[in-house]
Order: sequence, then structure tokens, then C-alpha cells
Amino acid sequence: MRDGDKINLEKVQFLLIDDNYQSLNIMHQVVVGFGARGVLKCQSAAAGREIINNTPLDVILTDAQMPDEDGYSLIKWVRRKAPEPNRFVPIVLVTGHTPQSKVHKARDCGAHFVVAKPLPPYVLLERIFWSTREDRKFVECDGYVGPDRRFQRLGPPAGAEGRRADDLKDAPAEPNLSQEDINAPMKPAKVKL
Amino acid sequence: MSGVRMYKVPNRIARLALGNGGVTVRQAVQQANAALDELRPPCLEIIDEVMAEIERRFGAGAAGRKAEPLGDLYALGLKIIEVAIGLPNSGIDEGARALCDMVDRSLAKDVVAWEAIDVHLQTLMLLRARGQAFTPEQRNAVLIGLKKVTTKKVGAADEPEAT
Repeated sequence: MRDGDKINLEKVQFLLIDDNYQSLNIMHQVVVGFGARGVLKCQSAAAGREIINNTPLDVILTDAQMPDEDGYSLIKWVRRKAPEPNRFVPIVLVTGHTPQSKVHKARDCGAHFVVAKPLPPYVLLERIFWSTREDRKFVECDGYVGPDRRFQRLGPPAGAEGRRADDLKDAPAEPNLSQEDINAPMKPAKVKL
Repeated sequence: MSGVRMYKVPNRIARLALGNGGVTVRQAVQQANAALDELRPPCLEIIDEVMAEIERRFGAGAAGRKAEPLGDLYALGLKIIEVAIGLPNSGIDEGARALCDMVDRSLAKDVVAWEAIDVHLQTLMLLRARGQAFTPEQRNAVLIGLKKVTTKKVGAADEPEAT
């Protein structure tokens, strides 16, 4: 996403769910600030289900920790039981505390993205922008329903046969390193030329 | 359900959001930040209320703190994170996250380290009072210090915090 890229959220229908009134207001202000006009909000997963059952939505932002039913459980329900097209809607889970286990849990419930609170507008807009470019297939199996979690297309692990027709053949055994990963063992130093 | 089904789904948001009109990313973020400005004062009030409650129930001077459920301290820490826009660039969100991490780890290991709790609460008060005047390096040093305290008093993390 670049600063000059354009996005038009006027006709996009958002649903915001957070039991904390102030936190819900923050989400609302950010989304309205982005230019969204269709914004529904509620303070519990139960109220969220009611809306999801009756209104076509384009993006759901839900808090992770809520007293009666948490965001993870709601996302699982959306992926399995919600009417179409809401079953496939991009879902962003927002959470204050992000240990790796919770991020994995969010992914395994079928969330598209996880954003840490306090909601930084740029990061949230970036995830919404990514949703517009989303081309992951949907997966349904006994243990999981949601967007394909294997989106990096790295191919099967080294020495293993892939299970999918479109698995990359002769894929590298290890993923490419990012520049930061490359720099770590190399210790490059800036020099004045 | 047996086997695995994979299929393409229509991308509704792409159709709606990438059409004509709209604003640039830079404008959208500026507008969102401006919209948040009116919420900052009430959020700061909530931060102060929550910190007062933490001090009253879990502070060094709280007589009944050993009877308080540690999970409540975690919940109070989360409340600070949720409204941390009330005190931007102060590091209070990171300080509260460090508190939650320490409590989470304490609950998992069944350890209650009051010294570590006291250090975290004092640090939160410091960040509330002077965090915005700190340089990013100073704030980072404070947060690294909190992590060290947690590791020393509660134990090492079983899992890393995602960024």
C-alpha cells in the first residue's frame, strides 16, 4: 500500500464488535475517518450474530476478548454457520495482548488478519487494503473453515510430496530470507564513500 | 464433512472499494487520526481511572492485594491498552502490554511475583507522567527493563509475543 493509492469505502458495509464502549468508539471513528458510511456496531458477539444473520457485510472487525462469547468463537461460527456471503467476509480480529498462541488461534478460527490495539489507523487501513487484493481460496475440512492458511506458496516441506495439484514442484527447501534476516548474520556496516 | 474442499469466493470489497472516487491512503489516515483527536481526552480520563483502580487494588500500599484475583490485573492492563490513544507516544500501551504479559506468564506458571508487579506499576506511572517527554530510545530502554524483570522474577516466556 502506497500513500498515493486510492481507496473508496463509502459503499463498504462494516460491522464493528467490541464490548468496551470506548474501544468501539475508537474503531468507529477510525473507520468513519477512512470515509466509510455504512458502519454497524454492537457490543457483544450475540448482537453481532443477529446482524450477521440479517445484513450483507463486507468487513467485520471484532474484539478478541469479550465476556460472554469471545471473538474467536464468533469467527468460527461465521465461517461455519453464517449465511452467504457473510460466511466469506474478511474478518479482522483486534486484540490488546498478542502472544503467538493467540495469533495462531485467530488464524485457526478463520480470521483474515490480526491487529494489535491501540488500533493504529495506518495498519488497519493496510489490512482493509490487503482485503481488496485478497485472492486466497476458501478451505473447508473437518478441523478448519476459512481462508487458506498456506498463503506463502513455499511448496511442501523439503523431501515431502505435496498433497495439492498446484503445489510448487522443486520448491526451495527453505524460504527466501527477508533483507533483515539476511542482515542479521552479515552485520553490514554503513560506510562513507 | 469428509475430505477437503477448496474454492474461490467473490471478493466483494474489491469491487466496492477500488472503483472510482475515494481518497488517497495518506488522506484516509490523516482523516482517521483527526477523527481520533476528539476521543483522546475521555480516553486519558479512563487511563487515569484504571491506573487509580490498579493502585488501589494491587499497589504496594493496598492491604488486601494478596486476596485480589490476578486475572483482574490482566483485565485492567488490557483496558489501558484499549484507550492508549489518550496518551499517544508515551509508551503506556507497551507498558500495559508488558504488564499483561507478566501477569499472563505468572498465571501460567502459578507464580505471584509482587516485586515484578510493583516495578510494572511504578513504570506505568512513570510513563503516564513523563512518557511523552522520553525519546524513543529511553522508552525502549524502559520496556526492555520490564522484560528483564519479568524474566528474572517470573521466568522465561514459553512463547514469543507476536509483533
